[in-house]
Amino acid sequence: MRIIIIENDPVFSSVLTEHLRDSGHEVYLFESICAFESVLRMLDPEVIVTDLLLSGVTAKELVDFYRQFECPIYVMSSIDKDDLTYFAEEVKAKGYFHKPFHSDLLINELLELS
Amino acid sequence: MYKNLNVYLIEDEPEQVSSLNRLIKKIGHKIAGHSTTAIDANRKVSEIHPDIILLDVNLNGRMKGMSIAKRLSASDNIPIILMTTSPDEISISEVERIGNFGMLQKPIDEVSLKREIDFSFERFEKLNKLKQENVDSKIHLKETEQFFEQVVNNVSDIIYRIDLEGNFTYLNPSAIKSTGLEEEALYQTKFTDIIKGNYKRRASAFFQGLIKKEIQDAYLEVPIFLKNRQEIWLGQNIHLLRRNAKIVGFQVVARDITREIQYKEELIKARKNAEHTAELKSQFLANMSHEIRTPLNGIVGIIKLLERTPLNEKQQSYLRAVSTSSDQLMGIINDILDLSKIESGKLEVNKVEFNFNELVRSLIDVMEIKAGMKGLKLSYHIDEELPEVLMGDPVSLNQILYNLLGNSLKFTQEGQITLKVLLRKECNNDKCTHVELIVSDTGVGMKKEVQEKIFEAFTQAESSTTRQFGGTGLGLTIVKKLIDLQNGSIFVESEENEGTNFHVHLCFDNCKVRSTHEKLNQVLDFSELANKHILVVEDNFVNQLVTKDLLEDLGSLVTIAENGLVALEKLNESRFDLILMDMQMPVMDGFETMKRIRLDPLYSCVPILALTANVVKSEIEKCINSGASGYLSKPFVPEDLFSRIKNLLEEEASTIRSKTINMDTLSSYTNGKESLTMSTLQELNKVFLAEMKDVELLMAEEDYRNVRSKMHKLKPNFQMIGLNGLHDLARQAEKTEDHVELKGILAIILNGMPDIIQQIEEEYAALEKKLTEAK
Repeated sequence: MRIIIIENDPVFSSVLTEHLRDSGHEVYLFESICAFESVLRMLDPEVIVTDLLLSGVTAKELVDFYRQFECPIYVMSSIDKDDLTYFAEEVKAKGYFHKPFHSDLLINELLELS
Repeated sequence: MYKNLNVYLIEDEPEQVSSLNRLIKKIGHKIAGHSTTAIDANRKVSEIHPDIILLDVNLNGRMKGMSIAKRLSASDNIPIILMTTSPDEISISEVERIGNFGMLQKPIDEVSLKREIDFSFERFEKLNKLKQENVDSKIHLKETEQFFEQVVNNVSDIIYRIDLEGNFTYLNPSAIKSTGLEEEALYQTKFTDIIKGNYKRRASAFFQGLIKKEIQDAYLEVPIFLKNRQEIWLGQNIHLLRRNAKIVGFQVVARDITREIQYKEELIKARKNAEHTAELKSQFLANMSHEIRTPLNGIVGIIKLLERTPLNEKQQSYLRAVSTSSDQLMGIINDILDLSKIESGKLEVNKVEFNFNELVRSLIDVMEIKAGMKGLKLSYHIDEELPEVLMGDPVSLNQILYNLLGNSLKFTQEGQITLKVLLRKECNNDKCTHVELIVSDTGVGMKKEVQEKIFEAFTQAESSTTRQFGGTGLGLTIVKKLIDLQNGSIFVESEENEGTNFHVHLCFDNCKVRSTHEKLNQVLDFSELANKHILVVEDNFVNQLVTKDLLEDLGSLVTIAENGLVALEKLNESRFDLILMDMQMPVMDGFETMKRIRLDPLYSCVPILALTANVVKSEIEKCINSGASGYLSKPFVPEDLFSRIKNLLEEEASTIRSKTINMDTLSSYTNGKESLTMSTLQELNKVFLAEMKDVELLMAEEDYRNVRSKMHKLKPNFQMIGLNGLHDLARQAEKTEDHVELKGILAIILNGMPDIIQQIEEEYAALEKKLTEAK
């Protein structure tokens, strides 16, 4: 699957990216939605996995941004779980993960999607 | 398509008439009539009113075909098909000008005749339908206009329109009536002219904003002046008016919201007052709690010390009585605080294992002394089948029984008081035991109407009751509320001068099979406290004495500081394992002292146990926010103090352990892939070094917002490497609004980081070596 990861934590993103690539996925990593937006049309993602708190973007802007996508979106964050659930619903996310999480959880979700 | 239409034929050539008659019948229609001249046709058609007319345009006579076609079309509303020998006989433009006609060219065959009749009649029907609809919609439009005009003219809401300059272009009667101004004068006024002074600019900017951002609908509240200078508030729903897509003004539907605004202001004021009152009440309770508990703590402590000295039997008996009384006094103070807590929804019911029989016997021991003093007999009976140990809230149960027995003692002058504890097997199940408690007395009893009110606060049988029997009238209120909190029930049976029976039904959870003896025989081991250097910060001499003696008995080394300032000096002189901190002290109180201690890297992690006589939630939170590791409310029994100290020392040891990275945790995230583990270690090292440097800079600049943001970012990194203690601290740092607390937490995190970075480097080197050797 063609997966976009938007995450500004280099430690966690490198682990997640490597596991997803090992599982045969085509993974593109971005540190912000601004960088992602510029190449958005070219990539045409099948799945988006995104952090919820990104610098320079308010939560409201993020929600509005992700609402334009029809592909499944997974959100991840280390904010409190209740807040994470709330935002995930706002983004109409397919699922959410509380960071840090084991990559297998996401990989299993993707298996179910395909 | 169509059948049985009445067709009228206007034709002067007999051969054509004969042929058309035949064809018309053949295609399923009827001949309604026939004329050979236009004049004859003009007369007959109006009488017969056929469905359709076939008309030869080249008729002989004074009136020609097109003339009769025009007339019939205009007067009789009948579809007409014009028949010509050659298309040149008729101009198409003329046909279009005078109306919709069908056309047939002679000679006419069956197929073309049928098709043209069907087509003409269908078009005629459609046109008629459209005409009818047009008429209907005009009627409907007229009715709608009348309806809205009536609504706009009679509605109490103010409706007006203004142009882009703010001039009124429409005002409904209500708008004119509400302002009290003349209609003519209003139309010469700008909307902003009637708005109250300082709101003019705001309203003007608001309207400009709507135009600029093309906001179609908006809402604005503004105060306006009426003719008599009376001020009212309008809540206005504003709608942009456009003409040919261009904004030309605003339409506003407004309502007088003066009363709502006043209510809102009153509510805000009332809420502020209520909050202020609640704060005062909370503060009062905190102070009262402290003032009573501090000396009581001294009494309880000295009793415990006295119990350890050699005493004869009589002295021991007296001491037991003093001990019991002080416990009960504590209970009464708690009663008052509890009522306040119950009413504010802050009291929680605990569930712990307790010995039911022991609780009742201990209570009876206390009450027996009181009963004896009044010459009353107090007896009790406990169902033999009642389990010895149950799970519930013993403090609450003790309070319920104490208050009920106390109530009976108060209102009984002679006779006896009985407590029965009955097992209600019929309601029991595997998980819980249903108990009925009956408190009976031979006292004054009460009337029916009094029984209905006795559980209300500050209510006693009569106003004279308080004077005669004393008490605040809170006892039974607390009982009822405590029982309600435990989903139990209480009812009373009584007759005036015949005594009273209170029945209480409560359910308790069953415990796992374990005897009390087993629990009692558990030896509490506080040997870990030996040789620990403890700083006791306490201004009360009696409490200093009690705490010092108790701790020294366990082998601890104790240093006393009489206030916070002295404590800071002592901390500079010696190293301490734990600090006991009183909160209310002269010179420097416990809160300030703890904040200062936490700023010293040497003591940023030392356990501090706050000793507070104040159990109000806000005060406890203040203790924790000021740097306390835990709290213990005064007065305390020695075992509680020792347990809390022991737990805090264990937690500290665990915190130190929590600063050790856990490679198993990291491996679980990298799925044991060593190359990924190594790169993650490298990444972690980079991040920790960079982020910690940033945090130090941000703290120096007092940019706390970004410090919290950094802490948020680091949380998952700490967790990935098993630093759960640091994860919790980072989370705490992210949440706190108190800068002093934030500094304290960061001091702990930053102090631990060099060691963590070193551990990461060592683990990386070890992995690298392992991989090199494997190659």
